[in-house]
Amino acid sequence: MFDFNTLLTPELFFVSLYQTFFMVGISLFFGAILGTLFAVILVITKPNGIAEHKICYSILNTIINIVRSIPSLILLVSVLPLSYFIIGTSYGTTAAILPLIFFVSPYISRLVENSLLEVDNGIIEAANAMGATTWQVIWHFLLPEAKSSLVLTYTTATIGLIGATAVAGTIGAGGIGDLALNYGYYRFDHVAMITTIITLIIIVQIIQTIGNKLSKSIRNHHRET
Amino acid sequence: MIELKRVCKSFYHNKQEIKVLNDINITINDQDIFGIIGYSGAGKSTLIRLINALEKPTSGDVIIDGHNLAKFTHHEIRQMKQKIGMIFQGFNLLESKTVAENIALPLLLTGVPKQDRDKVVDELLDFVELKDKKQAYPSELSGGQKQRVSIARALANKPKILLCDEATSALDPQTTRAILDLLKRINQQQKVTIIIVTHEMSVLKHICNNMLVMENGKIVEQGNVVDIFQNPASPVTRKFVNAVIYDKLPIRILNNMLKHDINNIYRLEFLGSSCRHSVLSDAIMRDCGKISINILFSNMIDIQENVIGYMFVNIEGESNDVEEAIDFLKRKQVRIAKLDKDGNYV
Repeated sequence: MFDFNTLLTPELFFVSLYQTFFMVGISLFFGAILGTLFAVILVITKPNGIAEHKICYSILNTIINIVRSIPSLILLVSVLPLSYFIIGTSYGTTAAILPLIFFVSPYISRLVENSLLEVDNGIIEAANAMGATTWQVIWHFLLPEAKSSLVLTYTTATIGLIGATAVAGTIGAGGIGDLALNYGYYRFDHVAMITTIITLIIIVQIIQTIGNKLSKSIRNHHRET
Repeated sequence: MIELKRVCKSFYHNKQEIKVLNDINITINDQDIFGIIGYSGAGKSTLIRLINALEKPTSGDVIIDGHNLAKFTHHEIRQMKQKIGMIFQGFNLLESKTVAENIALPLLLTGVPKQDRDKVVDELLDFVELKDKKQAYPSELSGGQKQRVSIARALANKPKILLCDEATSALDPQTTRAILDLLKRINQQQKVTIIIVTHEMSVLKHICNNMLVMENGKIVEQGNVVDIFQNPASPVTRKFVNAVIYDKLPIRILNNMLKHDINNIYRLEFLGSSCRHSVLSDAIMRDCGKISINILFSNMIDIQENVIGYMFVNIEGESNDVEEAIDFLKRKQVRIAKLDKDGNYV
């Protein structure tokens, strides 16, 4: 039956929560930058793109596909040795950040690519007709027009990343996933397990709600001014 | 002056060549309003995109003010584009930016300081009569207002040429009229050469001086708008002209006539000067009422102060009196044709 004896202390819980936010925050920051950069390169170098470049496009496209096809757990453990070279350890929260960036960048770049492809071709044509440089097309036309869609993209990416940090918990990264596995699963600590699940649900709900509201307000900002 | 010399353009699809433009030769003078008409797929949108280098010709030359675009560097092409405005059927405004920000975009790209940008935006908003919409977003505007914003945006860099790609096709007739009047004002006040691509003859009729008709990537006819309306040479052109002016008696009226055994039906073609004289009453008067002329149907249009049109009449009387009346009308420069049994006018 249900066992209410638990090793979970408030301190342990908050430390885990902090570790999760730390991992998500840092890897999201770098992942978003890299992912967006890759996506922009993909969109402009694609066939009939504004700076068409077959070789550049196919290399980047293939790399992203390869990384995306590796399951997150396998990807995380395979990149860990690289963490050892760079930060001197392959264990702990900090060590998990590099594999997480590896995981999330291609993921974000595919999502951002879709957002950018949604931008009406007519806008790009208008930019071209104005004599905009490639950089100007990206900065003044492509990204602003995709803004509302991009917010949803980063929201989805953040939630995906929270999932990935939970997986990273199983390889010693700490955080809330670690709590669920090491306490909830291995020690049959039901309270730890349920607390973890509820916490994850709440976090994801909050992030999704904020993302939706933000995206909607960007889409309709004229109604509020 | 814009010149296209022996221009051909092909696209390749699955390594198969699709000829979109074939041997195009055009000269467009400064300050002209030039119309390009054709059905969809005729190549007219590709043609207009050659002028601002959005498309490159496969062969032939595009020459603007004596400069061959093929000899331009990337940088020079960009500078040239900044002096050519373009408006589109779908307006292509940025939904994420306000009206003022949209209009300021071309200036932002050329590095004009903010103060000067604001000044130009205010002037342009005044010109297109949208001052009160300065801080609005495109989604709050009607189609006509959106096109006004995109016109203002196209004029921001004070271009010498304005390209209009089906700019009124998404608008209702009244809004179309207002936009065309605005384009005419731009042409007259700012001395801008305007090139209009359309599939609506009424657009050409309203503002163009010169025009060409395209079919399957070729120019089938080109010249002065009034001349082409009066004498459409090719079947396509005739179809387009008939969209705004009937050169045949509407079929129901015709059937009604035939039912009542009325056969002496003539088509009188009024062009230019013949409209200003009282030819019909003269024709009746000179024969002291030996013939009667009954107007069955008539339609006239005005093209830049010229009236052209067709009148369908039934002339009754002794056959030689009728002949004489017809000769008289011909002398008065009215082109006249009789409706034969097969429904053709000969």
